[in-house]
Formats: sequence, C-alpha cells, structure tokens
Amino acid sequence: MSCLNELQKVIAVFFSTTADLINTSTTAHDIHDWDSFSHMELMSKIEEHFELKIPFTDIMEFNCVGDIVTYLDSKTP
Amino acid sequence: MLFTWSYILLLASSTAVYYLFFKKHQIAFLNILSLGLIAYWSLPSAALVTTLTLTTFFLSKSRKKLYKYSGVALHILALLLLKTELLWVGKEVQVSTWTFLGLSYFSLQNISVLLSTNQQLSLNQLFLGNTFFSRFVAGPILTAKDFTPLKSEVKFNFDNLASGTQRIIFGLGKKLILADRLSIITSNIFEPTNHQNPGFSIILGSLLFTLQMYLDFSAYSDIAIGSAKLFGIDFKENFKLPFRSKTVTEYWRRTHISLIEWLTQHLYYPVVYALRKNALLSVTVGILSTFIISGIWHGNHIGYIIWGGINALYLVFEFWGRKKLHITQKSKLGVMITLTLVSISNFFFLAKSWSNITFHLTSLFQNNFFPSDWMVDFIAIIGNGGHFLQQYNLLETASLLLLYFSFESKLEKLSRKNKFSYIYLTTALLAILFFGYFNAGDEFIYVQF
Repeated sequence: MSCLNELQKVIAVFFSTTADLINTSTTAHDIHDWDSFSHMELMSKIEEHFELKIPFTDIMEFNCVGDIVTYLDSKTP
Repeated sequence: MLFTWSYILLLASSTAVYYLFFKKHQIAFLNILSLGLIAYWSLPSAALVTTLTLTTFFLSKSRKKLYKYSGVALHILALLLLKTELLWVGKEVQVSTWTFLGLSYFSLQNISVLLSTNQQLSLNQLFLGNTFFSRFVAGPILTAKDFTPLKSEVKFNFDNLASGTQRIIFGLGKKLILADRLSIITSNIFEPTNHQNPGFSIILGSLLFTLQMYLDFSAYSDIAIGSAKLFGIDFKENFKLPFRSKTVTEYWRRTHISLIEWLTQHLYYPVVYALRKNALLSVTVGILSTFIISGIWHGNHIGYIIWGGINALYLVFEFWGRKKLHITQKSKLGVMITLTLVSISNFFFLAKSWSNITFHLTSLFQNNFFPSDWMVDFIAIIGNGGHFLQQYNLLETASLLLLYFSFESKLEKLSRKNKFSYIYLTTALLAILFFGYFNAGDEFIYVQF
C-alpha cells in the first residue's frame, strides 16, 4: 500500500494545513511555510513517523511529494 | 565584462556566425569562442580553466566518492589560493586578475557538479556552463542541475533576438543611467578617508551604496543573461525585485539568487541535516555558518565577514521571531526597515578594512549628525563641487531613481518580452543617450569577487 495517505497527514499536521491540499505533484512552492528553514525539520518528522533514516543525498533528490512517496514506498514493507 | 563597443561587435558577429555557419556543433563553437577570449586575456588562465574543467568532467563520471571528493578539494584549494591572494599578488605569475576573479564563480560550479549524483552531463555542456563569455566573471552561478538543460542545438528565431537585445539594453541602461551616477556619490562620501563626513552623509551613502550595488550587479546579470539568450541559451535569474522585500529573509530569497541557491544546497542543508533533531539549533547554526562563509568567499577583508555575520543575525532573529513569538511582518513599513537593515550591513561590505570601518564609524558618532553647512559639508562633497549644474545633476539622479523604482516591475517585464517593442527600444536608447554617464564607474562591482 502506498505511503501517500500517511505522508499527507504528516505534512498537513506539520504545516497546519489540510491533507486534501497535498498530492503527489505538490512542491515546496505550493505550501507557504515550506522553505529552507522548515525543510529538514519536516524530513526529520517523516523519518520519525516512518521509523527510517533518509540519507542526505536522497533528500536532495526530492523535488515534490511524489518523489518522497516513491522513496518511502521503496523502503517500507 | 566591461561593456564596450568591442563587446557589442563581438556579440553581433558571433551571433551571426553561430546561426549562419554552425547548423550543428553550435555549442562547440561557443566553447571555442569563450576559451579563445579567455586565452586572449591570459593564455595560462585558459589552460588552467581547460584543465580544471576536464578534471571535473572525468572525476564527476567516477563512481568512487574518493575521486569526486579529491576534485572538490582541488577546487577548494584553488578558491583558497585565489581568495587569500597567495597565488598571484606580489609574484610574477602571468595570469590576469580578471580571469582569476572569474575562477571564484567557476570553482563553486565545479564543486556542485562533483557533489552531484547526476552522471549525464556532457563535456560540451560543462564547458558551456563553465566558460560562456558573458557570465564567466560574475555568474549567475550554476548548480549541477542547471547544466543539464543547456541545449546543444538551437535554431535561429526572432523571439530570442528580441528578448536578448531588449534585456541587454535594459542592463546597459541600469548601469549607465543609475548605477554609475550613484557610484560618483558613494565614492565621494567613502573613498577619501582624509575628511570626516557628518553622520547623515554616511547613512545616506550606505543607503545609496545598497541601491548602487543592486543596480550594478543586476545590470551585469541582465547583460549576461541577455547575451546568452541571443544564442538561445537560458541562464537562471539572479534577482527578483529585492527591494520589495518586507523582511531580510525575503530579501535574501530575491537577491544574488544563484549564490544563495548554491550555498543553501552545498553548505546550509548539510549542516541542518546533521543537526536536524533540534530544529532551532540546526537552522541557527546553518544560517550563521553559511553567511560567515559567504562573507569569506567575497574576499580577504574583515568587512565582508562582519557583513556576513550581521546578515546571519538578522535571519536568525527573524527565524526565532517567527518560530517562538509567531511574529510575521506584512506591513509595507517592512520594506523600509529591510532596506535600512541591509544598508547597515552593506556599510561594512563597502568599508572592507578595519581602519576604514573605524574611521567612518568615528565620523558617524563623533561629528554632528547633520552638516553644519549643508552646501559646503554635504552638497559640495556628494556633488563634485556642488555648483549649480552639479546640484541639477543630483536632483536629476534622485528623480531618475524614484522613477525607476516606481516602475521597476513594469520595466523588467518589458525588457523580457519576446517581441521587439520599438517604443521600448527607442525610449531606452534615448534615455541612455541623454541621462547615461559614460565616463564614470565603468567596472562592474561584482567582477571583483
């Protein structure tokens, strides 16, 4: 099962927004508070929620929520 | 690059040759042309640039991290030798300063390529991004992902010719009509360190220098981006109307964007990632280290480091304010506050040395704040003597600045249009002819970094 639903919730709670506004094509530009100050903190929350460690080089390849979903789907059972 | 008639001639002839004679291998032609120009100024520099680009290319293809990191170390070493002036000052090394100055931008780009996991970059693309003549000396700085879209074959079209030409003229106008006028005023205030200015002049000078630096550097970027556009090549933007920013954080998202992007990707994010379990600490350390290193990158002067430190503190305060006190700045007053804060930091950037900084700060705090005789202590100094004609020139400069910043967004849009606007072109050229300063401040400020 895809991690999209869970990831939507994590992102929505972190940015105090609604999960419906977040889909696979959402990027940092689409969410007002998603900037370089909050990006790594969000990654840390995702790591905590999915109980894994995402290497720095992989984080730097994420361009949209879809990229994170693909990564999480490949790492979670 | 110093904008001269020879540059216009070079641009016109190379554009014609590019489209007429090179239906294929156009990028190879541009690379040979750019390297030829570097060799014309300094043969050893061209050899160095070629060797370093080839080294980057082969090391970036390697799967072994050790090779990539040794390439990064090589470029950091080159950057350190350049910035600490160990390599060429006081020694008889026949490498032109001009080309060496370009190397500080060049090194950052190559480090980015080496740290990237993208293996698809072609040698032609790397050479084009590294040496293209219009942006070699002062960017915009490319990161690894910016090299990939550099197209290899482009057909001639009028859209590129129109937007390229109009963009170059816009940059030329900004430089000659506004930046060079301001350059005279700021030089009169800050360069002679034998007379103490009243505090008012120092504060006004810092404010005007902030505008001058933006106008000068964005003019360079306009000319660099416009020149590339003539050949159908798109380089990234470097500025997005920075003086509309309501916070210093926003200002740094809109100014020297290519350097900030590079620093964010290769310095700030690694630091924040390492400390990410503590959000406040990681961002604070990330901002401080990034801006202080940015100050060091600008050159071997204490003023640059203080400038970086002050900007870092602004950003840290704004970040803590948002995070802890939930303060958001939305009022238009923020624009003036941001301009003032940025100008305070730019005072140190401009003064550079400790002796200059203390000299001007002493003037600021020990003299009367306002001039005792406005004509003698203020107008005469900033206006080259302050006779009637020079007073008129000052008034003209103030009016032109006001006019420009009132319509900046509209003028920018016009300069980026894909269709020739004869009204825009005629007005811009006439404005340059009537209001341009042709014998002042000729060099671009950011060429020295």
